[in-house]
Amino acid sequence: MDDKALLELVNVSVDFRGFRAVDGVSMSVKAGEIRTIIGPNGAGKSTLIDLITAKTKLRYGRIFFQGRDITNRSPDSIARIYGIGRKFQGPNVFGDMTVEENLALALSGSRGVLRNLLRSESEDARGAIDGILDTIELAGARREMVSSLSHGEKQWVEIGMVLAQDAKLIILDEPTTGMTADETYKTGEMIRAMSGDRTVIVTEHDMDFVRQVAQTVTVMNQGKILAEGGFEEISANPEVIRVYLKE
Amino acid sequence: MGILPIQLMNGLFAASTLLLCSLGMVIIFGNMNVVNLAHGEFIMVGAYTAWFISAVARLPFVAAVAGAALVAGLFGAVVERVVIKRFYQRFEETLLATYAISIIMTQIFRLGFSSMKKIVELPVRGGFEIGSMTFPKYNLVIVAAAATAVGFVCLLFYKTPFGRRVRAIRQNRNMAMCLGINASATDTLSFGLGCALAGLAGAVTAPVKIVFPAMGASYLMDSFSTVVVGGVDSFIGTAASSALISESTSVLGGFMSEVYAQIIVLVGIILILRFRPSGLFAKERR
Amino acid sequence: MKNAFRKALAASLALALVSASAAGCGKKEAAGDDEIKFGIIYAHSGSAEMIESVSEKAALLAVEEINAAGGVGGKKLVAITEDWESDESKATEKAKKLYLQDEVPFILGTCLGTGTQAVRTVAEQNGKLFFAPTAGSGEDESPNTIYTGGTTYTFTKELIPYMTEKFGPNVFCVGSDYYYPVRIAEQTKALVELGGGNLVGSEFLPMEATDCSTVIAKIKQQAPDFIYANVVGSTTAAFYQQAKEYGLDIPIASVITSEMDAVTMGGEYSEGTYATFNWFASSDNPLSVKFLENFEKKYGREDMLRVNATITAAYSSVYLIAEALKKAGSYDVDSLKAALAGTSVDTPQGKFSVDPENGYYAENYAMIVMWGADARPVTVYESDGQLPAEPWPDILFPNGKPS
Repeated sequence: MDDKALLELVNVSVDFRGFRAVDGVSMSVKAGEIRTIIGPNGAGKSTLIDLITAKTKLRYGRIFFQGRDITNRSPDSIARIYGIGRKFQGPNVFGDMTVEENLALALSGSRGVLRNLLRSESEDARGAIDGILDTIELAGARREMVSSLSHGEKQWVEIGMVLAQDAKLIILDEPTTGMTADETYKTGEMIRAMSGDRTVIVTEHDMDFVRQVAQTVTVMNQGKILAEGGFEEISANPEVIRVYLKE
Repeated sequence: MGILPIQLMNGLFAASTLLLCSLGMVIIFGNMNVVNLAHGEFIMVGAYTAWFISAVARLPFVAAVAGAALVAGLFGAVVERVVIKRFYQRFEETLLATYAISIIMTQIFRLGFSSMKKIVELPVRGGFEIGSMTFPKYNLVIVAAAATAVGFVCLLFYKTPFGRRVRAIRQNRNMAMCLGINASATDTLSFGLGCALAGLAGAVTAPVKIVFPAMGASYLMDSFSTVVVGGVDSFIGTAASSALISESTSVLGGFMSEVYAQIIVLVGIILILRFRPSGLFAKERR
Repeated sequence: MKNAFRKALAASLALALVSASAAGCGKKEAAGDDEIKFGIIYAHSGSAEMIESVSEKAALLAVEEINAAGGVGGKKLVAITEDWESDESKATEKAKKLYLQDEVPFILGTCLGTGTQAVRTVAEQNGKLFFAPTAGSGEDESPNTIYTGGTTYTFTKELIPYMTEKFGPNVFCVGSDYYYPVRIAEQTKALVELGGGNLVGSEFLPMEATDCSTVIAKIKQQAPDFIYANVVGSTTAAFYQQAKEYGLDIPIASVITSEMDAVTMGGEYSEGTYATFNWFASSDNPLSVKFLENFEKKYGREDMLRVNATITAAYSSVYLIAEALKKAGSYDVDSLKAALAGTSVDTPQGKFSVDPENGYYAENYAMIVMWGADARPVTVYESDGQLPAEPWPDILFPNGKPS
């Protein structure tokens, strides 16, 4: 086992009624890196993420986080205790609230109900919200209702909410879906900015985006890892070209 | 002096009473999508508690009001834990369950206190005058209580983390839970809060109403129509619809039979709901 | 799905249980040859419960006393009690059960108009007798129903001249919105005009209304010499309280407000207002004093303080029935009705008789009382002897009962 690895997947498999969606995947993600997972539809990207966040229970293999075995823990302890934050596909935000309130919710999520019944935000919390607003470039829209934002901006709010959870590992499932080219680029810059003290796993289709953010790219096909390496290396891999051209 | 200014004032007092009695329902109906058919019975619990504290234990009225809110709130939280939480997202079943609760509560109070009507003494006696008009001083207490209660719930729901959580759960329960929000504890707390407000209303209005086990029924319809006209989850909307309903009933009642005035206002409510089915102050939904 | 069904079932079962336990159970007793069975229908829940549950106690007290004194011609009276739950369809059902299944010749009971009407209809359909210890508003009669509370007109007719002389001739009528107070207001209008006064206003409040501010504003506008307030239920205490709080400084009288209401609202709000009926607890009739003593001994002081004319009428009615049974010798409907014609009996309410010529309404004394600070009545007026029942007041029906 690699000691520097933040996340370590060892021979992970799951099958749904005989169909092996993820088949013997072993993968190691270092602390601070940005890992991009690409692959055609049905390659098992989202299922793999479901396994990491324990949304789906795995049948074979083990998952380690910071050296601790987190195989099949409950989803909320994965989120709260181990600090793995996840952004689902499509914007999942609270439309009838302001940008600021959405972030504050994510920030205070794990606090007890009674404890913050009447308490308002602390200075620390306000500082954290300001920081996140800068990162997601929505400082000017902090008091706007999220429902009035553009699709891309809503995605950013959600990224901001994942950030607010103060996760060590952030998993973003196709964060640029439905974004304009300009928005996609900005999202890429955000992800670069947030890596370093955090580790990021992104699944994506858009190759321009992958080129922009990727350090290590993992290519999946039919539940297996097809290739792994730097962007240039991967884009020159004939196997990968075949799979993508076929698509 | 004509009857109009008197009736405008009377309408204000009636609106305050109506608003106070409807707030608990806004929280439970608007935020939890549960039509609490036992709403009137929680008011009744509050009224009985106020009666017990002021008439039997002979403590000051302020203690009666606080005690009523506390007792009704705790009782509501227990009811939520034991019954209501099993029925969320199943609207028809919550109706049946809360209806059963209302009957059980009425019967328990009948057995415990008999059906004899109880009176809670007015803590503030006598009238005050505006020009040549005289109104009971206690009406001012009701107006102040209603204003305070509305201010309190608005602050609570729009300025505190708790309120934010309740609104988040209302909008997207699953996602709120993904953020680590304890939805079931928040539900218990907000249901209890709605019931505490009902209890508070029962205590504050008890001195101008009659306390008996079946008193809840008359509150339920009034509160329900007020909340629906106001837009189900809007406090300001409920305040506005209380004012609209009470002022029109009072002013019309000043010039015709009160029974006809009530009928006209009811027809008005039906018309409003025909053209604005989600109420006057409903928020735009995505 | 299955789970949902189970929960729905559990909830409805809980509902059924609750209503079953609330309903109570009518007790059925086999009647031997030495017993005279009859039915008692009173509400033990709902809006009529407050007064009717005490009425039943009064009726059962009379049954107990009569049986203790040897019964009726050596036979014991056996009351089969039923609860109509203040629900008129239940009243119909229970009356049918008593008349047809238990085969009782007569039923005593009900105070609330809806129940009285329901039992009355069943009595008519089946040719049975029904004793209603409540005052009829008049303008209406049934050959099978005996209103042992008399008619409200009798009392209004005594009250209006008394109040007019004391305060002036202009009256404002307030009532709850149903036929009884409406009819009283019509009779009042005719009576005050006869005395040279005016009905300056007449307002009816929705049933169970507790906000009386509007009607009080209207009364202030009209500034009558006195108010004739005939409200019922929760409105009663609300009206008397708000009259004081809104500074309505005008005398109030009522033919409906009784000991029951005065005790509920307390002396503070009833003090100084007037009421009229055929009996009040301030009656100095020795039988009345004795009745209240016995009632208190059996049921306690709290219930005794609530005893009013209607409750007393339930008690007196049993004595009237016993006397008529004695005279009739048998208890089929026809002989009982015939026997009632000339029967007169001494009761807490004075000489008690019904008038077959006047729709079998009881002939009554009239009393007017003023409520004291202790919520007890003080007699201020008594009629000269028994007054005829007038179901068809001659000032409204100069040609008598319309055909």
